[in-house]
Amino acid sequence: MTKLIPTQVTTGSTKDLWRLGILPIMAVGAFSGLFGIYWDISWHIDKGRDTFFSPPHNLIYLSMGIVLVVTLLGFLRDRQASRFHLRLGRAHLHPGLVITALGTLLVLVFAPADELWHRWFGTDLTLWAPMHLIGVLGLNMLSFGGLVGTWVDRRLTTDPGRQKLLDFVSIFFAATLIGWYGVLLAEYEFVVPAFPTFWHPLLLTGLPVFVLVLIARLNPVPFAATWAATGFTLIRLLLAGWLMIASSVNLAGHSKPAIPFLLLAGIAADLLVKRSPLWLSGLVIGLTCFVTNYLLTLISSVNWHQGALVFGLPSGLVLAVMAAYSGSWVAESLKPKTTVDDA
Amino acid sequence: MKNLAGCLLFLLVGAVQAEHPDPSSLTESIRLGSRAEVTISQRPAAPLILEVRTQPEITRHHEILAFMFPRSSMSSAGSVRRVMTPIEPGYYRLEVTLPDNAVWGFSLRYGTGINVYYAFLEQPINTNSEEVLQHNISFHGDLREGVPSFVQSIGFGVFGLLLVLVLSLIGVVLRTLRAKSD
Repeated sequence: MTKLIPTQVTTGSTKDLWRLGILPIMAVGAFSGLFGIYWDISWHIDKGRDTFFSPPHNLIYLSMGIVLVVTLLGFLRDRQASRFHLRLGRAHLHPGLVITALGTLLVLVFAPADELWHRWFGTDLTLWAPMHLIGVLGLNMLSFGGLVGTWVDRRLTTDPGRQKLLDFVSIFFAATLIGWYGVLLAEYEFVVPAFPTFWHPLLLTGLPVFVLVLIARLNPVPFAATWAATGFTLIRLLLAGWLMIASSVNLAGHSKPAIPFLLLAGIAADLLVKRSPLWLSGLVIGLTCFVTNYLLTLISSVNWHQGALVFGLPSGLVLAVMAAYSGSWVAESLKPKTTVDDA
Repeated sequence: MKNLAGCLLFLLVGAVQAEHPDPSSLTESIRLGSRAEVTISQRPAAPLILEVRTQPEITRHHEILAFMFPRSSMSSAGSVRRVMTPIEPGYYRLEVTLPDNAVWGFSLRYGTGINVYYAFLEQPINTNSEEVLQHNISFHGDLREGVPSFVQSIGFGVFGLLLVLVLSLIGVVLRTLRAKSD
């Protein structure tokens, strides 16, 4: 791999987002958001939607509030002013902070809108209600902002120890980003879908490919996509453990979500992305996502009936190819061109 | 609690309707969906077969979610949820194993988002006997009174607009990073 060339251009304190404590809080925020969402869904299914200030809602909105405050303060405290910072008048804004701040703002602004939606139009028992989707979009932006922020700082630092740390932090954010794509499918995982089943194989085949190709192309550590898929699985296992404990003390519902299996897709991404054309990588990774999870549906409550597969699988594979190109494009934007090509 | 009470009210109305399927008995504030003939077949040492035939047929991409729970349980513990397999337009089938010798509630749901329809029935299950039982039910809408169904489309429009704006913003940020990398 070509050695990275330091690109730091600073005008003041060189403390990066990790040293400022911003990246750790963003990481905890992404983790708490994932926990909160699954806890909330389990709560809604078995306990109903009783109040805006339910414990899962409190966790989500409190953690997003903290992340927003910290990122806004980060704009003031971050003095790196590198060439990667976005100029807005005299200000130099860290790109990772911009994306994260907007994402958390979206979550918090649309929280009351969600409450009004429920009051005006009915219970709307679906995760894919418009206001819920806006919230999930904002939460996605938190993890994506974390990944971008990590990679910008990764390129700015010359300290090998810090580079190594940020490499692992980027794997964590990639794992949470896969987690957010999982959240989109949570209704299917809990077997309470309010939309047709074909969306489940379609999105499960296509969406993870974006993150797996992105992190495989960034290649912060060997077998990065496999590590990201492993991280995602560990997060989901922790979450399942939390739901079991919480339900035993009546703090969550009895319903538990199925956990998508993406480890083989991660391995496929690591093996293929560097050696094959993107369309082929996307196709094979998507197919791996599909086949492994299809086999799981045979022993679970999820019903991928024939009618759903006829439309869901081909569309999912098309989405997988598109996601592979998108993931690769994002990786090329984040990493110096020479090292991406090298990888 | 209010929403939970609302859900229970729908289940209760569904239960009443299962016994009295005449739509004229409904108040005007409840949206009527399809009517359906539900067949529950039980045989010794075999899964229970649940079949639903809707009239009029619900649209092609609508599926029926079956939520089955022991009536004696006050919580959802022990409940079973399955998406019924569409066999042909208007005909849905599900094979499921339920513990017998209990009265089970069957809550059926179709529709999307805020525009969903529910029906409810209950049935004692005894897998030691061979029985085919039929119920006539009506689905009832969950949309609040006076809310036009296009509200959901407007909501998705707002989400779509925000998604485009967010993707554009991220695109601009990444292009800027890429330009400065070269």
